[in-house]
Amino acid sequence: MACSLDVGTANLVSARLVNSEVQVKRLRNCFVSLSEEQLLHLSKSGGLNSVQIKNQHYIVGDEAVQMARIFGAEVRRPMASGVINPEERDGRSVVGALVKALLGEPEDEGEKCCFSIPANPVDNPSANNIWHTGFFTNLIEDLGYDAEPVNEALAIVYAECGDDDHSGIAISHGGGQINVAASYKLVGSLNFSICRGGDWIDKMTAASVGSTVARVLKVKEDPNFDLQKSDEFDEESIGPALEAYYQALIKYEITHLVQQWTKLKTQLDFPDAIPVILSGGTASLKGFKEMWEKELYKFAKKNPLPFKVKEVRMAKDPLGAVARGLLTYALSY
Amino acid sequence: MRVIQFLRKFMRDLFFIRKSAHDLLKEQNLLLHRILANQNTVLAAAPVQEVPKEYSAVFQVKPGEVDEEEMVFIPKIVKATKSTMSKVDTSSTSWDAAGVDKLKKAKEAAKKK
Repeated sequence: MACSLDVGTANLVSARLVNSEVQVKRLRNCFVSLSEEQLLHLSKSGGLNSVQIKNQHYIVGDEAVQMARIFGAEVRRPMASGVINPEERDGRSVVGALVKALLGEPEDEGEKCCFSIPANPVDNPSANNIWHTGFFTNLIEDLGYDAEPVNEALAIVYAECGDDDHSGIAISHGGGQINVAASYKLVGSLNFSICRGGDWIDKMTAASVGSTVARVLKVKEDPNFDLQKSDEFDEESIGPALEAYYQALIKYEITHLVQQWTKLKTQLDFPDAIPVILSGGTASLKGFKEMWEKELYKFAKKNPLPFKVKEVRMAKDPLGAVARGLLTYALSY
Repeated sequence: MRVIQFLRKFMRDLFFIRKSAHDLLKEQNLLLHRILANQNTVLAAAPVQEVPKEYSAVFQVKPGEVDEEEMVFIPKIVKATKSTMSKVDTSSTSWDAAGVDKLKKAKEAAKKK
């Protein structure tokens, strides 16, 4: 059979077929360092995800964020802006342990494993995904899999656009980057990324209202927070600030989408109206789709769009869409 | 002045130095120029006449065409000494098997175009 891995700045998500169902596993891609004494104390309560590298102890995954809040420590990230974080050497070992926990041993030797890679960013020409791709290829092959890198946003087209003849614009809203792909029946295609995402929103919001990223995350991850009713979370003005930065991010991505499309207009002259599929953890907030539609409408009033939009819709499973698309691709050989 | 000239001559004679330091430096420079000129002549006169077979692929690559992926060094990662992953967020949902067939057909159609 085959499996897949969505390598995201904020989350690592794997997918595999188990008894005719898709089993999706997720681990938050972050860690926090603790002393041995602190770890011993915490391990008594049990159930913590931890990693030991040489003499250093780390709490990893979702608990890392909670522990960072308790101990006032800084959450560390193995990845930044969609690729391996060059400043976190131990982060590479942590991500290795997280990937191993998600994928496990291959079911058979050389089992296919498609993993996501970001497109090169258009707003940072000095960055590229070469080192990142090589690193994860080595890591997954080291576990015994046949690793294949696949564009992250194109994976959403595989997962969500089967009924649209694999035509559409797929946008993956990650923590470190936003990845965009446009496909017309898998023939004409455009893909690029921009170096802004959920992390950018969190940092800008925290800096604007004089708060911390941890407090911003608390509001953002509250299941009742709605981007259309941000005033209800007016404590420290975090809610309205989040709304403002979400609007700015959407405007930024639509501007870049139109810019990139215009550059390749002769190759991307799609005759039919196509759907826009929104996906990713940053897009999972209530009211995101409505805000995206409003911003697109505002943009289209001032500038003509080079494509026709059939509809704007959310992916069925915004966090698992990339992993599902990768699995579909891995099984289509 | 005469005394100084006499002393210089005396010193040269004493140490068997027949030329002044200035003259010696001049000669040395001339010699260096000759050596360099000869070297350049030798380099210019010896271009690569025939590319050895094992390097033929290398000589086909023009500047700026080197495959960047081949140039990246990926270090081996230090594996975790110990890891405990007891909490992994897991969910199961239905699988759209038809999606795989649709993708297979779309890939074949795209290849033909």
